[in-house]
Amino acid sequence: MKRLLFMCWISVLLASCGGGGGDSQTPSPVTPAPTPTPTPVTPPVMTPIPILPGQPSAPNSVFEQQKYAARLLNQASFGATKADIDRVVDMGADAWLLEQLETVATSHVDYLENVMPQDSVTEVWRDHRMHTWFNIKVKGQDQLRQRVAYALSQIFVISDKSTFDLDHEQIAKYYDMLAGHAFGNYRDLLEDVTLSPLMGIYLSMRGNEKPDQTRNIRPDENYAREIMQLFSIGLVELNIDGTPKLDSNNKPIPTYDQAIIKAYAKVFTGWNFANTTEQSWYWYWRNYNTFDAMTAVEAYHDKTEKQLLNNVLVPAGQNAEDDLKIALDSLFNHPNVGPFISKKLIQHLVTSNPSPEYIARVSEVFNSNSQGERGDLREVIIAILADPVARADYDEQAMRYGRVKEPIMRAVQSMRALKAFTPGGEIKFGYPDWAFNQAPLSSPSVFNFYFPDHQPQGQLSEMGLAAPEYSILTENYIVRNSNYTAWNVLWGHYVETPEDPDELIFEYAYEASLVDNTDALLDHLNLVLLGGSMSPELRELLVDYHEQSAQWGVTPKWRVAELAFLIASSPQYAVQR
Amino acid sequence: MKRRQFLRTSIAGAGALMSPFSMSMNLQLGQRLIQQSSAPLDGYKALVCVFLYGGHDSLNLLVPTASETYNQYAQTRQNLAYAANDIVSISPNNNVAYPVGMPSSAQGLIDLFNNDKLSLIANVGPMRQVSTKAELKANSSLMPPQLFSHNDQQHIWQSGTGSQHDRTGWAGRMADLVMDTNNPLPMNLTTHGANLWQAGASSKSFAVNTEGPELFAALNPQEDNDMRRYEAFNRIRALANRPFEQEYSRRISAAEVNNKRIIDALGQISPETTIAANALYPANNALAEQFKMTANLIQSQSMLGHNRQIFLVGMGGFDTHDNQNTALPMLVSQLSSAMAAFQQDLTQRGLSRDVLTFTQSDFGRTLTSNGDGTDHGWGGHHLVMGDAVTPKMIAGKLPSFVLGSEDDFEDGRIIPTTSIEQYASPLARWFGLNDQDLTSVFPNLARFDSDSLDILSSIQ
Repeated sequence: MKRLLFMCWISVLLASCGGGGGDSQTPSPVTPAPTPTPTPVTPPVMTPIPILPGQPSAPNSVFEQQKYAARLLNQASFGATKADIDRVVDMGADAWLLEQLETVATSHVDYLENVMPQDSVTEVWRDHRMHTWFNIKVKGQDQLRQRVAYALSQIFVISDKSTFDLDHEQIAKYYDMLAGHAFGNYRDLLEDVTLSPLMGIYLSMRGNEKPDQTRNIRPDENYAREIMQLFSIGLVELNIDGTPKLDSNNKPIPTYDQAIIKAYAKVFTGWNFANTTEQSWYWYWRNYNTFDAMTAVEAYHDKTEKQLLNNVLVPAGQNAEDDLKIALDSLFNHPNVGPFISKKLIQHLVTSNPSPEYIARVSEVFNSNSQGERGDLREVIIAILADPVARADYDEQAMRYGRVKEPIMRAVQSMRALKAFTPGGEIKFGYPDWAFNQAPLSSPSVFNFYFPDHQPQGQLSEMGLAAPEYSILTENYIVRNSNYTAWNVLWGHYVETPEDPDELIFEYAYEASLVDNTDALLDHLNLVLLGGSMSPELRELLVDYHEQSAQWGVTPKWRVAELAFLIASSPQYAVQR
Repeated sequence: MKRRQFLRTSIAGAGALMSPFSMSMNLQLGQRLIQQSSAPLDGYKALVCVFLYGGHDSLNLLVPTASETYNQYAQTRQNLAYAANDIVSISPNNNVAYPVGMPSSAQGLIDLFNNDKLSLIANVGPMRQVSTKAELKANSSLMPPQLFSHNDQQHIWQSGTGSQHDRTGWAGRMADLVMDTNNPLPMNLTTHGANLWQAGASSKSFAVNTEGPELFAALNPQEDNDMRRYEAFNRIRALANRPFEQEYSRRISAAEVNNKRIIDALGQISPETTIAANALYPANNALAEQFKMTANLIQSQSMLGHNRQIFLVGMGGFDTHDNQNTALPMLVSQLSSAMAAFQQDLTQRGLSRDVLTFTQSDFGRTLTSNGDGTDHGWGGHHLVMGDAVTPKMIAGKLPSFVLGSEDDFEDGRIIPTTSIEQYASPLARWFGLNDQDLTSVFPNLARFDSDSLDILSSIQ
């Protein structure tokens, strides 16, 4: 009953948001999910074999190997599954990582285009984009790429809370672009982000024009400022380990001043929707094209000389493309980029408070990979995951290690770990914001859902520990998170409307088969939900609870759901380590 | 109030006679006593901050109306200037540099001003000390850190210390001084999520959704069916032994205890009150929904055990780099109508005497145009609303709209003439803080003339 109410709630919200698509009223015919068409990616020239430290070798207990695999999977995927754990143990963690690096991207756009006709709707709404995101995160084979893409989507932020709030296929295309660059070069990524028409709208580089004295107009500074502050170098000069450089008065040194902002603002003039002409420059809706990269209109580009960062000079008289190339190169070559971007990626994948040493090890790879190339994200990702800090076993981890799971990722992890499914094959979750206070590419501003250095008041702040994700885990959302877990993990085994192809079901077929084998059941739940980190005290408590539930006269599914719920609601599950 | 002053005096006096060790012991004890002494603060009061995220172009809220100064405004603002016939004149009681009006989109604010419920404070912003343009240009150490950066300037406004790196905000430090430590529900309440402003050294803030708090669906101690699960879950929570996990556990507990209390307290509000309140607020206005919940929480103060409350409500979208001529009037209209409705609601509930509402924002914006919008600026105008405001007051100093003037740092980024401390301290004093409290909450207050703003007519 409670669960049904929740479903209605969501439907009401969808209706009131205009985000229809009709999935709540008229279920589509049950059809198997189309296989997403893979987007080919260029195979890298070199494929250095990752070497992950600390792997338990064959003589170790199977559980130790599984635990190692699960811990890696919780960083490098949207959550460990029994199948993936077995696979990593089988083939070895190195080979698995290599395979992930070679796996082609699952395209959100293709998925949308394949799914939509079967929903018999012609327009792509926000809930379709959300369905797509969940299906790919839960079921996609390119788990590591998608995990990195999600991190990138929180660094190179655009949001549907903007004027392009109806362009969901284009937003999906932006997400695919990020995924395509996940193991590519940062410089290419920065250029595609810069020329994205959605970014052009979001940070108002689109339509930015050269100064006009008669109309008292100077270039828009928005993109110039945020590309530096958020996408590349940050506010203050950094050492390679991410600590701020200090001047003779022990003060941090700003990376740029207003004069630099103005110079970059001039560089970023002259760009508009693809194929805009000088004549059509101001005809916004006629030019409107949020699919294709922006193109330049030279008449609106500032052609004066510009003094950029680190004494890079843009000579006078150049066209917009050449100016842009110099400007992006100047940012790409700034010594801050390595520590700045490396730290952000470590925070999203492994730990919120990486040590300077960890940041330095990754920054060095960013600055020069095994082939001497700068900005290779593929080797950066390997360096992050293969670092001894990331690979340390639970009992070797420092108290400050780990990260609070984002609410939406907790939900995806539970779907994966407990093999949730819908009879129709598609996971439908149109308005994740309600339960999680977040949704992909839908943050309140370019500053994402949280500041990366947010330290919650109290113990964490006293210890100087950032835990950004707590910004969105306010008192009310901690309740909604818990209730989401209740409606799914706890009560999702009870099918309320068998005719509904979209009901998310937690069947617990495998877990229920272990109901009388408490040890095996807890080993399994420990691995898939806690990555094998369950303490003996927690285990004892759960064993006790499971023994009690044997007296309640409830089904095996019910009993295992009780255990899964207790674990998935626990503080221990809330933290990725 | 008296008891608190007594405690403070007695601690200071005692220290002189004691060894350093026993003195520090006593200070700790005294600090605790002070913290528990909120009860003696008289009556009830609430401060409500409206944070306008993105940097409100508030310099466009007070527009010159005389032809010479309007022409200066129009010349500088170009295509972003309001047409003269879109400006409604207002008549302040005090002397201002030039006659002004407000755009018609701010009708709610105009009415509040004319009804003596609104004061405007001109050109407020972060300042290290009073400095001229020439001094600022000559000596960059006089400039506040990281001007024009959104998050840094939000943090400087919210910290009230001049630093963007502090871990506490001025509302949090106020609560540290006056909170009742026996009350599990913080006096700092927010309908707009976590923020620095309400973070104290010891006091915390608590978030309430506009729909009201909710209860745990499967872990509700009031439900018999949940009891076994609830007890097992509490034992699991107690096993949390790492800082991140312990914080999670703490939040669960805070939500469980406080959400129930708030739900019970809100349940006491009569349906008639709710119906009457609902009729006042504009539809499709997220800020109005936050004000409505705030009014409910103010009305519930006695059941929540608060005789002082601090609220943060928020509104985004003010970062108008683009499309400003369409976006800004809409934003101002939403802000105005929501504020006017809130004031009317408080009056209707008989609470308006006890509540002050005021704005903060990242920064003002450039007077110059980037074609169809404005960029990040520095000083900006702010609003204080309530029964206690000085009638028809435009406090502070209106800046010149002439580019290159003494007020213009560059490109129409206006150098503030009233500091955040000068703006905030009268509000804090009204709330019940004394001189000594003010100095501890605003460490740089002594750098400025803190009596310069006469915005509150009835500071008690």
